[in-house]
Amino acid sequence: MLLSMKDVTTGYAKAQVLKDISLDVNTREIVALVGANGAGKTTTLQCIAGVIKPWIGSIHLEGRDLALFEPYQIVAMGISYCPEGRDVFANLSVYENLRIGGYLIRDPKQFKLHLDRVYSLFPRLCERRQQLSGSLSGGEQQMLAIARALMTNPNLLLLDEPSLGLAPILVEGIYNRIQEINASGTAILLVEQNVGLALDVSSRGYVVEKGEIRLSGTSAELRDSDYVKASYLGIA
Amino acid sequence: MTSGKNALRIGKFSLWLAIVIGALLLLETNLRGFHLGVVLLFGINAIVCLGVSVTNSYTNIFSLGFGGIMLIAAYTTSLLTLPVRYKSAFLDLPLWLENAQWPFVPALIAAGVVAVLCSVVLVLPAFRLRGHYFILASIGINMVMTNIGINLRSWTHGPLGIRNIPFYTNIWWVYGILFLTIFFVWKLLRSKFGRAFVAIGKDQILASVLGINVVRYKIYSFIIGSFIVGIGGALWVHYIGAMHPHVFELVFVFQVIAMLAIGGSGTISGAILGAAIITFFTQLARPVQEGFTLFGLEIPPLIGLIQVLVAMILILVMIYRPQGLLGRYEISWATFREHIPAALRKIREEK
Amino acid sequence: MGWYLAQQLINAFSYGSILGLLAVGYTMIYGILGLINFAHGEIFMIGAFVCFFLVTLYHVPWVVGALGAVAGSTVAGLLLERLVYRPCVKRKAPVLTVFIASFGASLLLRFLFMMFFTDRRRAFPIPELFEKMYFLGGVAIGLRDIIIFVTTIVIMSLVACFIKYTKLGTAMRGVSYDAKTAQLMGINSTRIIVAAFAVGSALAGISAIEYGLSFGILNPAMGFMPGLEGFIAAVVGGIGNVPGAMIGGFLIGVGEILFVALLPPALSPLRPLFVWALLFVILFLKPTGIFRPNVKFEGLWGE
Repeated sequence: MLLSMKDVTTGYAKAQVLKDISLDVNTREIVALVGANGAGKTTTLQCIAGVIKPWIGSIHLEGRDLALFEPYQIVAMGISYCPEGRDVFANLSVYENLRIGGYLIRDPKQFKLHLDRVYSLFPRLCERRQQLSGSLSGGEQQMLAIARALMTNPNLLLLDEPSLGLAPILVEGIYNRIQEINASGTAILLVEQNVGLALDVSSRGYVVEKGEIRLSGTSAELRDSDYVKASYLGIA
Repeated sequence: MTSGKNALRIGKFSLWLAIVIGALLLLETNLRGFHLGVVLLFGINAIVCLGVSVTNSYTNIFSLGFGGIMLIAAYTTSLLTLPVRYKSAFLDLPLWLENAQWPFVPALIAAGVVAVLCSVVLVLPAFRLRGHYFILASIGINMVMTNIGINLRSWTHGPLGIRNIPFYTNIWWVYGILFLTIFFVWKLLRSKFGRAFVAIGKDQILASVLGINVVRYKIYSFIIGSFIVGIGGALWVHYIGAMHPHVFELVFVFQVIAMLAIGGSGTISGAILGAAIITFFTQLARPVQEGFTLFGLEIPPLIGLIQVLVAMILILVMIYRPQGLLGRYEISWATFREHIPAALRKIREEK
Repeated sequence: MGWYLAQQLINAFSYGSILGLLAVGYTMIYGILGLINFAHGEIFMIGAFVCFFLVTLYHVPWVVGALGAVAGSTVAGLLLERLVYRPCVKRKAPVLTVFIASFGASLLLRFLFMMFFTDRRRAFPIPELFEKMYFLGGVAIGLRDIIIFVTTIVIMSLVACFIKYTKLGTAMRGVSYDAKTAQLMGINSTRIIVAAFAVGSALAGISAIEYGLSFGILNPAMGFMPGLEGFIAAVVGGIGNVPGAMIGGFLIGVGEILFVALLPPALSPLRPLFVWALLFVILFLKPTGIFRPNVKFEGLWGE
């Protein structure tokens, strides 16, 4: 098991958001975390990335307790977080964004290797590498955000709403890339509001509601469950 | 029933008034020179702190421009009350001002009014600015005022300053005005008007959504704050008896900011506590700074020691207790009647 | 008149260099920390004092003294970060609290030096070699002016390259733009803050040497006016924007000297007023400075 989250309760300042969340991610799998707006999906990812600390419960990455580390140290341990809303550094060029993404890589050869890998995954970024990232289109910014998170060659990629605000055709492209990334060995914890899409690419899934895990199981089971059908897929 | 209650309240009020007047009388008859000066300076600083807290703490517009506003107010009252023979000897004023010989109270009010006019004129364009830009502009107000004071020799006698300003300030004026100010700010914070300031201070956007005209209330806040601060500056100049363009420069501004920050901004008692700590500390440390002989041992003067110590205290308070010593706690009757006994009881029970 | 103007321009470029280097320091620290380091002028002053002590009292070669000044300023800046700002930032103190602390730090340093060394003016050591003058038509160019100008250009180009092309510089721009996202990239913001303080303070040290060479004096209050004017230059250049700060510094410096040079001498005491008037005009027309500030979130101050 790569990541295991046990009975985590947390929130912001004094407002509790998550209650007793437990989930696991195995190596090389895609796990979907689905639910409505405000259910606590992003908070779960932020908690894993170390931006907020669990109040109760624990998060372990390959046996190491993540609560003891700062966000920048957690990145070095092999977890990359691609935040919601594509927070690219708009004042930097595409290349410079990727350079910051690969900040932890000391060896220039290694850096070049990862850069080439990312460029071959997203050829569009290679074409625009000198362009200011603020001037990219929404889809390109999303690609850049994912590419940036991949620069450290993580074992686990936390993807927050990669389809947010994108045209369907672009979403399809992004999801093809996500599957390619996974095929090359990176486990992915995918947060989505678009439940059908997320369950299509993932092997397992969790349904989050009001800060708690409502349902869990393999994606196929979830897709077939009456509850998910009624509440999220709009199939009566 | 109500009349009985009222009578009780009036009785209580008169009792407190008598106690306060008695205490001030005691201070006035017993204090001389240096000690009287410390007590007066504390009162004046407390007034200035309260004035500054209206804008800087309650409305949360961090302005360092009050030094310049005080300078204008102090010059106003100086010129209005300075004996005519000194004015004609050193200054080159328009006739009406040269012949002006105002009594203390009108001059004081004039100082406050000029301070208000000046601050509104200066601050209005600055409202376009935010955060650090506003702070920089407010420092600019100080620098510009000081510079005008230095260069407008026909009015201010330049860096040589004005002397022989009548000594009007005494314990009664200072503490009378201080109590009035406390009462006023206390009432203000409990009025709809004053709560608008606090709302703006907490969250400007939320306040505007609630229907508060933010810019207008900010200006009101500056009007009230500048008036109090101006009166404070005028009291100071009538205590010292001399005026100089550099008196309210950034070092002075820093001391007032330190008072508010150390005492705890956001409450009346915090402002007064801060004024008390810094005033007594700086005045009592003065002999140390000027050098003295201790058991035959000559301690050399250490000019600047006071500022160094104040700055150190300020930094430590900012690191370890950024909300100030009192924080948001307001000392009131309830403190003595309820909170302290409750705390003592708790300690006793724990034992 | 033409020669006179040219002469004044040469003087102006020296002062512009001094302000430009200071402004870059302000802007870098502001960009990374969201904080006006009010004590920057005092870090500048400490550099000048270190050089003075090394050269005048311990008779080390001037170049060593100058390097010592840069080292002294850097150490002072790092200590300030470690002892004042880091504890504040660690406790997540509001921006205003940190600003008040920096205001305190500024006065602390200035009066500490005043306490030990009095506020007497001292002569800044200038090597005799630098006193050489060249004449070009009616213009006298001191070797000092050339050295100041060339040093500034070289240093600024180096800083610009550092910011633009190195990994650390790129990371600094990233943190400046959005510190929260930057830490998700594995960037330790404390290290970036230290780097910003080191570079900014070193620049203040260089600026202090240039000030000493140009004016030949030093005292504990010397950092106040250049510090404020450097701060103004940083704001004029769009705070957080390094090239903007360089240009802002030259703009203010050159403007100020030309103001004194071109207007009747009766107006020259108004020189400080001119700087503030320029600031007010620029801020009134463009409330965030001439160039784009390099920060994502405006209203850091909760306004």
